[in-house]
Amino acid sequence: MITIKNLSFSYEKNKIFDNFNLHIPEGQACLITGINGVGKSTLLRLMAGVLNPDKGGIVFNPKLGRKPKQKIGFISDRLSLYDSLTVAEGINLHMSAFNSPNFDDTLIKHTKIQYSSKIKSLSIGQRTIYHLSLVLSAAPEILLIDEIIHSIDAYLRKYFIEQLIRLLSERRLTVIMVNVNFHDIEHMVDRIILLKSGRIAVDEKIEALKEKVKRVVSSSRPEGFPILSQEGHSDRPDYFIYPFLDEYRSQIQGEVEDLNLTEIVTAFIGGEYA
Amino acid sequence: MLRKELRELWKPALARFSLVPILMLLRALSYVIAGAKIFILFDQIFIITLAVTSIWIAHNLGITVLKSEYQDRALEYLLTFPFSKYKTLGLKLTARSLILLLPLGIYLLSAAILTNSPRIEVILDNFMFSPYFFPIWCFCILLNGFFCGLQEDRNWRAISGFITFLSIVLIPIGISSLFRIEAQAASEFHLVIIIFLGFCLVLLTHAVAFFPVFRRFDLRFSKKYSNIIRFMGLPILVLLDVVAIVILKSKML
Repeated sequence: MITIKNLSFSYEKNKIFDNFNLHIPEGQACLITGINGVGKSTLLRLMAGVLNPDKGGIVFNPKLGRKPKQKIGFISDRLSLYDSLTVAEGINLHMSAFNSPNFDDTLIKHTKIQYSSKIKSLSIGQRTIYHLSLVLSAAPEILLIDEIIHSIDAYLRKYFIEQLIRLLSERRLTVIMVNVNFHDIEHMVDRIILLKSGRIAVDEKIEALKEKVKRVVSSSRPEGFPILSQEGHSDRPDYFIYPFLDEYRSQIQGEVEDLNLTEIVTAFIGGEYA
Repeated sequence: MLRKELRELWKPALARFSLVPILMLLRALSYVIAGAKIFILFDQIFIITLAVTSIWIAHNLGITVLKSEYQDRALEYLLTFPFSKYKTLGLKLTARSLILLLPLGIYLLSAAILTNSPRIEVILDNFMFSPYFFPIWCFCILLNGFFCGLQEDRNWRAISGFITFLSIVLIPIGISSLFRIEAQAASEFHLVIIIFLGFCLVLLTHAVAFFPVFRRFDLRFSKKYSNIIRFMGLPILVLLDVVAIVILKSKML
């Protein structure tokens, strides 16, 4: 669905990506993560066409037609919208820009958003829901979401994720998310990409990654194993091992534990800060 | 998009442009009260209208085309629209061009009233500033205002607008003086060519900075453009203005 070829991008002299390559197939829910400032949001903005690459390019599936941006829904962490417009005016503008006939109010009707309210008067959570409603109304085939799910309240977050899962299965929607809070979305993500210094450090299917990263709780440091990071300063710190092979189980002294997505990503990011 | 732009623009534009007939009216009124015959130089109407127009354009074109996007922090949102950068700019410029019909209408109306009034005698100093050429000047100022407006800093936008406005007016006069073209005697075609020649020189200085930067047209656009114009474009224009003034002075002596 999206192929990034030899992409280079820099902010002034700060090089973010250099010959970066990535392919995301249709219908995949992909999570991009990494430490702050690694270029996660920049990558989404490049895919959304908000930023232009210095070199290389982003190729979309030809089925998106001559105007791929029409089929891309992008919600940035800045929740950029025309604040001075009313909710109704914003809907009209978005619908006419994306040539979309009907506004899908499925999400918005669960909130207390008034159509006559100015967008600037909406709370962050309401803005997020409003923006999501606008984007989903345009029936995107690629959805780019930048660290905003956590700003919605628990009820609407659950509702939104359910809707996203439905779209993923019904419409083979391609979802690319940048997130630091994985608890809610773990069950819907297929693939995780960890960025490090402008390149891909980890690119794995979630289940495969869970098999490859394990926590070892041991009183002594498990020497000779690929330790990703270490957590805790007690007598028995936790050691995260990547890649973990099955034969290690018999060799390691201590308990080997499975990790959830949040713990895996924390281990990787912790390794970078160490 | 076009509707949204027009809705944002028409009220402030009307407020600013209505200054021109109000100023003219006050001036005429003072003569009427004094019981004197009114002499009005067409150049004055022209310059006032052109100045108000250029101020409006400098504030509403270029980077200020994206003013509402900056104020609303909606630039990122705008850039996600499935329009090309050319269409986005085109729609915004179309709205502003349509609004420009307002000063043109006011100017032509003022001119018509003045020339048909028995108490008013209209004097035309320079044929280049006749109503006939007003649309051409407007077009020049519109394009120029777009480039000036791309300046990121408000003060530099004003400085840039002032220098280029001077250049647009001074360079054609300088050229006509240099080649001893008498305004009254010259054909309309010659004058149009002269106006455009002067304008093209101004435009060239902007274009040299604009096109390499425009390829990017993203969130980092205006800073690079501002720097190039500030340190390269404006000094060239100041030089051209000085040359035009020197030519004018030497011909007057």
